[in-house]
Amino acid sequence: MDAVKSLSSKPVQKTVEALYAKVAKFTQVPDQQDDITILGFELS
Amino acid sequence: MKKTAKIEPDGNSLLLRASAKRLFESLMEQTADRIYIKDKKSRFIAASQALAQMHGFENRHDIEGKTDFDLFTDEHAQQAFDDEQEILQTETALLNNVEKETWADGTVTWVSSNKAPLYLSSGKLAGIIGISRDITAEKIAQEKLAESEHRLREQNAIMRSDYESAEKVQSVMIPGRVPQIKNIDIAHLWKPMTMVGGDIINFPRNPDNRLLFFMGDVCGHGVTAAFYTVLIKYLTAHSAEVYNDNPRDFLNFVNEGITGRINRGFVTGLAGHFGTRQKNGDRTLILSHAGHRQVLVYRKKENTVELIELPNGTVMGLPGTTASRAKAIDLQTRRPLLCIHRWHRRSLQSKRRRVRHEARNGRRQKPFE
Repeated sequence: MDAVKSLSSKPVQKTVEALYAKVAKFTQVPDQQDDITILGFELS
Repeated sequence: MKKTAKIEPDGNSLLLRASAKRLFESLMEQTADRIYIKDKKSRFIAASQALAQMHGFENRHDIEGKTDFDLFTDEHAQQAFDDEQEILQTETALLNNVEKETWADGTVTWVSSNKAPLYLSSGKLAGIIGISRDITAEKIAQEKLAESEHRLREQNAIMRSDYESAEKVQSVMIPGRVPQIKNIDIAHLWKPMTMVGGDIINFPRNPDNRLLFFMGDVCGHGVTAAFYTVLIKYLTAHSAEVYNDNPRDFLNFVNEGITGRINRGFVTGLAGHFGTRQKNGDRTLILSHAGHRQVLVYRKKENTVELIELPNGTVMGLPGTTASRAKAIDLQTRRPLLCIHRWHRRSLQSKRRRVRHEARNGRRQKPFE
């Protein structure tokens, strides 16, 4: 949730991509262990 | 008077006293290898009992004077003869040579043979000495292994081709671009574990042109899961045609369509639509789920992230399952909502264990929340 807050100033697409990258970096697992899908909406 | 003990000779002393000729005879009679001596015309001068028996002779001396042409088909006999003449001419041994033996009854056997020039004590070249070992069983095992590897390579090529076909199909199924909706920014990220995956995102519209969204996950990976996403895509498109503003009905329609059609496993899903835009830009999001209960809402004004739990709902594809009741979530402008499908759950758990372990050992790292 801290990661989402830290990315809040970015457009939602950038937020989604940065969130994925942040978790991938955190896990330090080279191989993705499952299919991953993130969907984001932002009202403007 | 001291009595001298009688000493019986043991095996070793008997062998030492035996003549070289007797030892040679014993070797030729008792070895399981096929040993032979041939003259310069490739005629058998001596042969082991094992060799003689292989050719149907009871006495090993019965083979003496014969050639390979008397024992094998011409195909093998000629090859053996040529090899032996080459050895005699070059005075060079032929070692570990794998020979195919073809027999008159059509049988094929394989031997590993060593052949070398044979010299008399005077140094004069006299003929050939050879030893052959039957490797037919080993050769058959090698051929079966090679055949199995060939089949595996073929199957692998077919599987690779299937993967590539599935990838092409799936590239059409998963939207490369999300719909452009005024006042709603839509973002998505779709990363299959392999070339293809079981996740799907779809933005169908109902007859009133209302945009719906659906994200789902077919249990499993690879081509099978990918092709089930085609079925899901088809069903969600049909479900949208009769959409009645209730995402629960939408998911239950999809559930009805897949139940009994998926061999193993299940499908999870999340579906919904946005309500009419208010004057201040706010909207309501109507959501229902089948196995994906949580969504994240970031409230920018308050700088808080809320994890919203949807009502109970069960996965699709299993008899008796149903989607959750629809839930309306009020959203204000500049408040992103994230729906995350299958995060690295095992990776995160593994990482958390490592972090706890490092904390116990004095190395601190901020956990990911």
